[in-house]
Amino acid sequence: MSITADPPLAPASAGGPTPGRKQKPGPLWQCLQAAASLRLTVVLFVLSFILVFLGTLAQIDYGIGTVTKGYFRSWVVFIPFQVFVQFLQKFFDLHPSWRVPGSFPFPAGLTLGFLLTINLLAAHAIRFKLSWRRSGIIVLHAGLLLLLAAEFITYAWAVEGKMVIEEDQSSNVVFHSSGMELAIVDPSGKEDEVAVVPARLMRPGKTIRDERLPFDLKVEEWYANHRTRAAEEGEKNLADQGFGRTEIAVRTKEVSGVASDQRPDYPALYATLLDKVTGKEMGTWLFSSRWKPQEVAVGGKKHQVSLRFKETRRPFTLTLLKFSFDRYPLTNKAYNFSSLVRLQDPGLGIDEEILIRMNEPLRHRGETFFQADWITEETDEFGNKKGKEIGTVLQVVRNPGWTLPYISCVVVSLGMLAHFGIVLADFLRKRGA
Amino acid sequence: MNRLERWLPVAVTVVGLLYIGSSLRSAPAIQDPSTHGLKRVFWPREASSNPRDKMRLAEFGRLPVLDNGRIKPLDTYARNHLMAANRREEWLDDKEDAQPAVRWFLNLAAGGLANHAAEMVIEDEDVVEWLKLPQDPRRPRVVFRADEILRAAEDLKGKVEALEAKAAKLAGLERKVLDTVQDARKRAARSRALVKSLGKADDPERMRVFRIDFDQVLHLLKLERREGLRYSVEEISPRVGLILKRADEAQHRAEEKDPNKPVDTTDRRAMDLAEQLRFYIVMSRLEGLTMVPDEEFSPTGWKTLGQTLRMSGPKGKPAEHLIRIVAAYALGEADAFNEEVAAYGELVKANLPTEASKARQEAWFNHAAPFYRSAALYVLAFALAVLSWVAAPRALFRSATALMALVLVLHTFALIYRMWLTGRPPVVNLYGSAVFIGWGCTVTCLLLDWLIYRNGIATAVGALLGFGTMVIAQFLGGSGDTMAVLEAVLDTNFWLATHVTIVTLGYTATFVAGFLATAFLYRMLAGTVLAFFRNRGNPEWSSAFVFSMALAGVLAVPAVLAVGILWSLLYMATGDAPNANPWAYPLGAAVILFAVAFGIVVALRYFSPAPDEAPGAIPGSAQWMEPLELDVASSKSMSNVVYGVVCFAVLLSFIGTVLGGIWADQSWGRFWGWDPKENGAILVVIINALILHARWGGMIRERGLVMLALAGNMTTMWSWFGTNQLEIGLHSYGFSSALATMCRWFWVSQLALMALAALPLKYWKSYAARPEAKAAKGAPRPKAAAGDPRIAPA
Repeated sequence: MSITADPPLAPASAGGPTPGRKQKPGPLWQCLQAAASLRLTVVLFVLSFILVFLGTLAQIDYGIGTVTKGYFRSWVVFIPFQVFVQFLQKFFDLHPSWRVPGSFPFPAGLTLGFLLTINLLAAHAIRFKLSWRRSGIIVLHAGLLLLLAAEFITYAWAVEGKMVIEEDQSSNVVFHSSGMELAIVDPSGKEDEVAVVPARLMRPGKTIRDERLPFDLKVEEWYANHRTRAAEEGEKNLADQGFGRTEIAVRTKEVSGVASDQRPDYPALYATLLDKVTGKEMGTWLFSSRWKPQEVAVGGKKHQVSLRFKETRRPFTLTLLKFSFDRYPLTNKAYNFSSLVRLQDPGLGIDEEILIRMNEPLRHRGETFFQADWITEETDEFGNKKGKEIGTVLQVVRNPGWTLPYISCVVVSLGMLAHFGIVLADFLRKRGA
Repeated sequence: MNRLERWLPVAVTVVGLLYIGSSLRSAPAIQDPSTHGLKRVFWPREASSNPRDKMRLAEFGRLPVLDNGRIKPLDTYARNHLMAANRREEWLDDKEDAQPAVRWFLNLAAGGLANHAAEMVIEDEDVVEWLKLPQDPRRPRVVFRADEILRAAEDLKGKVEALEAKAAKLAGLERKVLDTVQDARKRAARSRALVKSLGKADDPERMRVFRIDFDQVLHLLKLERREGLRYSVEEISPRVGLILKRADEAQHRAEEKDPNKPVDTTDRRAMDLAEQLRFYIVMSRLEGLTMVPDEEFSPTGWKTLGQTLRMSGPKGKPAEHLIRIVAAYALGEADAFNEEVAAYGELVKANLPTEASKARQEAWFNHAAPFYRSAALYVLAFALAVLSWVAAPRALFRSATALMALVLVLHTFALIYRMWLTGRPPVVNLYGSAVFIGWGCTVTCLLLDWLIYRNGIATAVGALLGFGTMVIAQFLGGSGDTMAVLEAVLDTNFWLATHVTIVTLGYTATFVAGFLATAFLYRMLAGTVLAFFRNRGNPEWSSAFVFSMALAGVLAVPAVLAVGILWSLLYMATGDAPNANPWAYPLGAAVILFAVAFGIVVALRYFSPAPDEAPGAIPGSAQWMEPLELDVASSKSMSNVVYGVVCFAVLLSFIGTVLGGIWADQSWGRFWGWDPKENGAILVVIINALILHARWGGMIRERGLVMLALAGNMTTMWSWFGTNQLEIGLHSYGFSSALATMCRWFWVSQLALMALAALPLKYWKSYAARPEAKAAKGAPRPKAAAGDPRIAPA
């Protein structure tokens, strides 16, 4: 006997009016029925499958941040045909020189997630019937909705940052690698006066004017990730001011995948500064996010200008007492990183020592502090660490929905176990009969 | 139950037990290739005169060394490194006898000792100046070789002879120079004696252990392609600089990641070879392996043999033992070697009791190689299960399942032993996933045959999957230590035991569903061919195309499987891919030709039947397909089982994937990062969920189920190996172009099967066209009569 005899969510009767309802179904009901169809579910699954697959291939060329935003956290994505070429290059020995221009639109993560939610809710709305046989299905789909909700909360409200603390130093500053800004600091007053230009305005060719800025800014080039090298004699150099006269920025690939050391992208900006009044050019500068601030003098006032990660401050401090990098004997391979920190939160009257290590984060004031990375005395031009470890890098995450996946995992598992258990029991009973 | 049915399973089990028993014995203390092994039973040879054949090499291999952060037996180190260069854990000496990896290591060490004997430290710049010694940038400034000094002295023959004439009266610089030259003579003589006593057979420069199968690299080295594809340092050394240079340049380009300067296959192969040559250079200075513990056996006190020899002052007991062991080996003093190995073994046991015993057990595990051995038994079980559909069904089916149960015991034992050795859950790396998936498939399939099918189909599928995963594991094992220590983020047994194990079981279930679907499809094809014969001449006579497709499928599937199994066996035995194995293509061609010829015979019987043939008769050449034919009940049962396994797949892959997210949340506060491996896992969930919903919605039946289950196979392969080929992300370990090739052919094969599955729906119900079915006016055929040995659900 077939186990499909009781299709859990199959349309009650295809197309026709639902039994038990005497009157002709209204247009709203018909819409609901269409939205609830299993056919739609399957189509959405197929589209999701394709999206996730192509969103993986896209990571050959683009950073994981770019892909996540474009493919999974948008409504529509334009997928380049080149991803198929790259698939063939990786697996079917197609020559690496092949390039295919163009792209095609495809429903992205938000669209599919939204439609799947509607589909699921509609299906349960029109076929809701509380019975033991369907209990597993209801529970497991409730768990799935929870998971979708968690992903949406993460998308909408989660904030990530990094805290860098050198040994024996304290910090309350969190850097946000997603938000880069050009900071113009006027240190002449009692307190620093800070004006910032967010990175999203940096489009080549655009001129940024704002009364809070001491100068106008014409964006020449914006590199999402870069490294710097010494300029060679006679080499063409965009910059004619500041550090950029001797250093050249080279565009590099965005960081792809979830890299084990969570290295962020380091952008660079070539910008021409213009006098606010006369509009006269004041030279072109290179601002690298790897550099310390550069001095720009405007009208007798000296400003500290730097391209830096957006920062926010916390009402508590962490002091790094000791960073440990435990290696396997005679190797450079770590079996553990840990930071012994002192957490001082006067507001909550907390002052204690805490050990943060891999897989054992600190949770405080709705934020979680993870051992993510460490800093060394120096780094080479590719950003590889050199020399002794001198401090720690903590990943700081605020995600109001972080517990939901845990609950969802349990709920869905129980639901599936219940449902498949019921189906299996049926099957075995019928076989036995 | 007749005699055959009773005794064949017993006989098969006994043979299997003997095979397992013979492999689980310890390695013989002394392995003399001239008297050892099956080969010598048929081609006996005089006892060897090489004293090294009387040394307890295996005992030496059981000694612990510290390598890559863990204490392991020297045997493991030697096998892994020899494997990297030679693609085999053994090597063939000048008499074409297989020699163990430990002997290869000892030959390198003996060569290193000879090099060291010739090495001299001259700190006095004036002496260097006087002798006009050339500087070698690869060595510290004060280190010179005795033969260089002698060559320099030869150039200054007159002046040196003058010094010798007034030797007694010399002082100052001249005294020092003469002492240096005389010391150089002594050292050079000792070094030469060491090399000479090693003999031709064990000369490290002459061991053919570098496997080069890439023509461009051979061309660079000006070497001829020859059978065996193994080359020695002696052959490579004239142009070794070229390879190292090319590899360095390629390495630089790879780091720059400039798309206009790609790294091609020749570059990659040159890089591979250069790595092996560099290892050889390092070993020839006795560096690379920290094998000498300090007197206290402290965890970080291990040194290389080279460091120990160059150290001034007392070296400590372990060092003295090890130096004497290598010296005795080099000089061919078998008794001294055996005594020293035993004495050092006692010392180690007293100081590192736990590590020493674990190292011994790991060395035994390497030697017994239970995963490798189980591969052969899987092939036998597969063959028995397949044969059971053609002849002596009950006897062969019982034998096949008995053998599978036996392999399962061996496989389980090996998994547990490995877990005990590593102190880890079963899956911590790709190798572990391969052996674990194989185990899971075997368990699932045995259960299915035992509980539901009882016809050997699941057993055959399980045996095939077991064998396939063992071949993959063998391949993955070639890339280094399979029990290597883990990076910090992975160092958590809780998540390894939950997330990784469950996700891997999800892969297992998806593969089982996909392969059972393939068996289902195969039975449909067989039924289709038979239906064409039965209805020959009837008006329902269909197109020749469908018949040809079905017939091609019926013959191509076993032919491709046979070629795959033969090539895999060749690979397991020799370490050579088919393109490097002279037997592979002829064998493959023979199988394919046979299948084609057979197909032509069957097709001829269909298209031009003999005039006296009864309508609807099945020719002898096609009768073997009859037991495979589907009927209503077996069709239902097949699809229900595939469906049931998919249910498990969706359950396991979902829970496993979410647990992975939770692990990530614990590790760096990001539940889901859209990383390629994460995406791969979610694709497996989606495809399985898709199958279930499509079936619930009535959108698919047998044909759709089979096609989607094949898509599930493709997806799982993508998730397992495909994502690693993208070279991005946290999970991108195990890069290898061979894996890309494997993915490619696997996908192509699954697409071909999907094309076959796309035959019109009515052929999925070809049993409906059977004469008896017609007689019953479409009523479903009753279940197979009790005791009917032909394939039918229980």
